[in-house]
This record gives sequence, C-alpha cells and structure tokens, in this order.
Amino acid sequence: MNNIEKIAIANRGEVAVRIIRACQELGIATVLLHSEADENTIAYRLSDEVICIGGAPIANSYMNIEKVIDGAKAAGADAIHPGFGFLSENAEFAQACVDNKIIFIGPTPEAISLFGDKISAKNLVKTTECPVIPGYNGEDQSEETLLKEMDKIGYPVMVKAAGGGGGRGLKVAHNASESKMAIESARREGINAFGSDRLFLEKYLGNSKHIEVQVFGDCTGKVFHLFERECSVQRRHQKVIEESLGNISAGLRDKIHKSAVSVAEKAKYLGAGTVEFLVEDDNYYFLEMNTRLQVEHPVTEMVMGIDLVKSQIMAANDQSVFWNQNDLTPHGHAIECRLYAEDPYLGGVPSVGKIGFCQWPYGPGRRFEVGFEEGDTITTNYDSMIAKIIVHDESRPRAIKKMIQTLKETIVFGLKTNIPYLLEVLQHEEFVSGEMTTQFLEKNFPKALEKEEESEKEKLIISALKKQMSVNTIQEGELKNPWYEETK
Amino acid sequence: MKNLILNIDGERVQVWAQVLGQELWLHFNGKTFIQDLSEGSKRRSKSGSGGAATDIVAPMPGKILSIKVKKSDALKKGDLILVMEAMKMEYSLKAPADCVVKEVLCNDSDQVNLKQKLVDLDFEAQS
Repeated sequence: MNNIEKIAIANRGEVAVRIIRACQELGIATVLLHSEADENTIAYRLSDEVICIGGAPIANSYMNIEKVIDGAKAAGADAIHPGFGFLSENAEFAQACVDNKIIFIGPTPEAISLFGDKISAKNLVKTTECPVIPGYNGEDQSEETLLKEMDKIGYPVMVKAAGGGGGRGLKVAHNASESKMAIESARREGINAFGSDRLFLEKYLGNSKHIEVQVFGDCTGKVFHLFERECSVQRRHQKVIEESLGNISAGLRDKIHKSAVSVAEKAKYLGAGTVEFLVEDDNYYFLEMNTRLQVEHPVTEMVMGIDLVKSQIMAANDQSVFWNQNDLTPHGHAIECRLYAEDPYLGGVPSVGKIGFCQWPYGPGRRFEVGFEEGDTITTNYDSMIAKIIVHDESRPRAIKKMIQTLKETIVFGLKTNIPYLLEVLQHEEFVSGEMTTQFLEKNFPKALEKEEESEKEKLIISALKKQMSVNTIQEGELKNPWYEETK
Repeated sequence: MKNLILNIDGERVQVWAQVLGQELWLHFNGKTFIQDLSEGSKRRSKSGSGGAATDIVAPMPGKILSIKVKKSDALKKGDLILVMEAMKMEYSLKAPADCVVKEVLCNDSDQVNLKQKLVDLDFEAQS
C-alpha cells in the first residue's frame, strides 16, 4: 500500500478546487502548480501550498512536463492529480511521474498511450464484443489515399487528428468537395495542438446520441461501471449540457455497460475512465475511451452517490473502493450545464474581464463547481468555461425545472455568459423529450440568439435604475426611486 | 453591488445592480441587462449585425492561424478569408458578399484584439 500525504494539482479553475477539497476532506496536503496568470483564482487561495511553474502560455506551464515534475518534486509531493485536459492524457507525462517516483493519479502510461492513439484503441476494442464505427486508420497518410478512403466510407466523413480530443483537430466533410479542406484543416489543428499531422477517418453518424459509460478499475483489478451519461447537447463537438442517466432504453443500457466494462477489463484499466459511444436507433459504436476524470463527472456522482475524485486517490493509494457492483443503483436524474464566458447574442464570442459580482443560488440538489469569484479576471489565456452548474432531482422533468430556476437566479456581473442560451436549450421541446442527438444544437440553434426587445415593465425598471445608479450620482442610502421599498 | 426590492403595481421585483466602469449591470426576473451609462455624453459607434459589412474584424481576441487571401483577390460570398484561433477553438472568417480584397491588415501568427480590423474589403469593385 502507498501512503499519499501530499498531492500536487497540475491544473487550474474549477477542477483544481474540486481536487483540493477532496484532498482536504481526506486529510491530504495539497500544492497547486499554477501559471503566472492564475494567482487570482479560488484554487490559488484554497491550496495549502502553491508553486508558480511558469508563464501564462500553456506550453510554459500547464503543458510543460519538466516544469510540472520539478514543481511537484520541489514541494515534496507524493502524487500528482492531473485533473482533465492539459497533461491528464499524456503518456509521456505519466511515465515521467513514474520515473521520478511520483504517483500519477490515473491509469498506467501504457493504458494512456493505448487509448490516446485512436487507432490502437480501435484495434483493442475489435478484440472484444464491443462494436466499432467503420473508418480508415491506415499508415498511408497521402492525400490521395485519404480521399479514396473517404469515398469508400461514404459521406459524411469525419476527419480526425490521431492525437485529438475535446473537439480539436476534428472536421466533417459532408461531400467530396469538402474533403480536401477538411484534411488540410484537421492536419493544421493536429500540428498546432499535438505536433502530429496523422489523421484518421470515420463514418460520421449524423443522427446519433452521445452516450458514455463511467468505468472504474479498482486496485484489485476489478472493473466497475457507474452507469452512463448522455452528452448529446454539443456544439462544434464541445459538450454544453450533460446528464445522467442517458435517454436510452433499459435493454440497450445493459448491453452498453457490458461492452464498456469489457473494453476496460481488456486493457486492465486502473482508476476512472469513460468509454464513449455513439448510439443510433438500437445500434451503438465505440467512439473512444477517455483515460481521465471527465468534466461532467459530477452528474454521475450525484446520481450514484459516490465520489470519483476520492475513489481515484484511493485507487492510487492501492486501496479498494467501497463499492459492490450490485449495490450501485442510480437514484433520480442529474443535469450539468457548462457556464461559458461568452456572448450568446454574438454567436458565442468569448467574453473576458473582471468579475464584478457573482451569485451562485445554493439550494437542495444544486451544486456549483466554480474556479473564480468576485474580483477575479477571466483572460483569453485558457478556455472560456468558468463554472459548472449541476442539479439533481427525483426525475428528469424535475431536474430540468430545477436547472432552469437555478440558472435564472445565477448572476455574473462583468462578464457575459451563455445562461440565456442554456435557458433556450433547456426549454426546447426536443431536449425536453429526451430524443435529441448530437445534431441538436446545430439544427435548432445554428445562429446567435436574437436579443428580445425589453418589455415595458423591464424598460421602466431599467430607466429607473439607470437614473439611480449613474456614475457620480450614486450615493449609499440615497436612493430616491419611486418604487423603492427596501435596500439590503 | 446593490440589492433592491422594487414594488411595481403591487408586484415585488428583486433587482441586483452594479456599476462597472461605464456600464450598469442589472439582474431581475431571471435576466441580466447591461446598460451603457456613457450614452448621451458621447456617441458610441455600434457595428451592429444589421449594417453593411465593409471589412473583416476580429470577432474575439486571438491568434491568426492562416490567411487565405491576398491583395486584389476577387472573392465570392462565403469564400474563406482567414482562420483564427481563440480559447482553444478555430474560427473561419468568410466573405460576407462578393468583393475584392483591398488590403490584408494582419499576418500569420499575429495576436489580434477584439474588433481589430483584419482585412479591408471592397464591395463596389467589379470582379
């Protein structure tokens, strides 16, 4: 058995806060390895120790293996939790941890490279009962061969950079005329983001649901499944709303869980992982396996009543988790909305700036995963997700209503957020019916939201407050609003 | 931040209000409103989506990845002009109508600011 006493967190934002809190509850010390740009964040204030490992660009800090390892060693950390994104699925990094006698909280470097390369992943899955999507993953990467294979697979075809993920390095060619541009663009993103121009092709399933199974490999070699999540509400292949359980039939559910477990077992998988599937009608296909904690892990935690981060730490510590597969029963329904700092009326253009005020309306079954608070500044250095809002209730309709109410009470001043967009999506009949596919947003929300004209009552309130709150005229306790009743 | 309870025709409305720079941020009835307080004192040029597009400006702060056009190129509506990247995503900027490239005002790998003019287009020229 290992004895982890101090964990270095190689991440930022809300996930760093999530990990630090889990450590604090377990009595484990924390050291946050942060960039110069991240001193004004909750994680920075919350961690027992902090070490600045480099400048704002990710190549100088969060993606820099040497600097992360040096930081962890300088702090005397026994283990590193990589969170998600950044180095979380980097086999070279996991190996560097091993070489430096630091426990990497995650699977082995071998498992990461196996699933990180989508070609070897697919080859492994082919040895199990789990179905895969038709595609091309050959060594011959010439444009001529790729174009020929695209014709053979049949359009639409998805062109992916072999090292890609999170919507990066991924292009869809809807017909032969778009194929050359898709190859060029995916290659460029692949080189920029992962330093590799290797591509693979796959049949693009145009009307499928994104269903993913949370799996967990315990230190004894036992693989659990923690039911599934649905992440069909995606835009440009980035998830926006996730839920658990998924909107699929009970029969399909059983089959998918079994397939997911068989893939993880075959790879002798350790720790938390997610097997992603595309589901079209009653068919399902292996998409990829993510060898890390997922952004959307809270919906699983809410429905299953478990703690994935603590379980990850236990697995890394050679301790068995508390579960018994037969006792793992889902309760109710959970939904997560990703709060992006962006202008929904300008088609999602990132919004940056200082948070003047924010309010997270806590209540039963309302969970907020937040990395920033009042006074903190959101910059363009990192992605625009500033928080995750998760709700849990007894049924899906109730969870949807709870989410709508929660979002309406959520306030962020100083930055525009996608809350108006999320509210529209949550009330769309296709989402409410649970029948949405990954095409849902593209089909129903292709353009920027249109700003509604303010109602007469809204205009009245706005003009009254404008007078009261105008610069230079605002005086504490001097509000002369005719409708004024009380001040807090 | 001020938290007020207004009474409008017998209905209670809770309002959160904060002045940030020249803007008034309000939240009530589940919505956030942003009001420009400098209005009236100075005219703000607003490049709304309704106006005729005359050039390509950066829709967000970010980095230019690849420029697909050069000076004097004749473009058809929808032709790709350049690709930029911000906050981990790639965005393609396309010609809003048939036009000719008057001037390219940025270079590959440039860091550009929000609303920065990137390419000057001429919609009058015959292509």
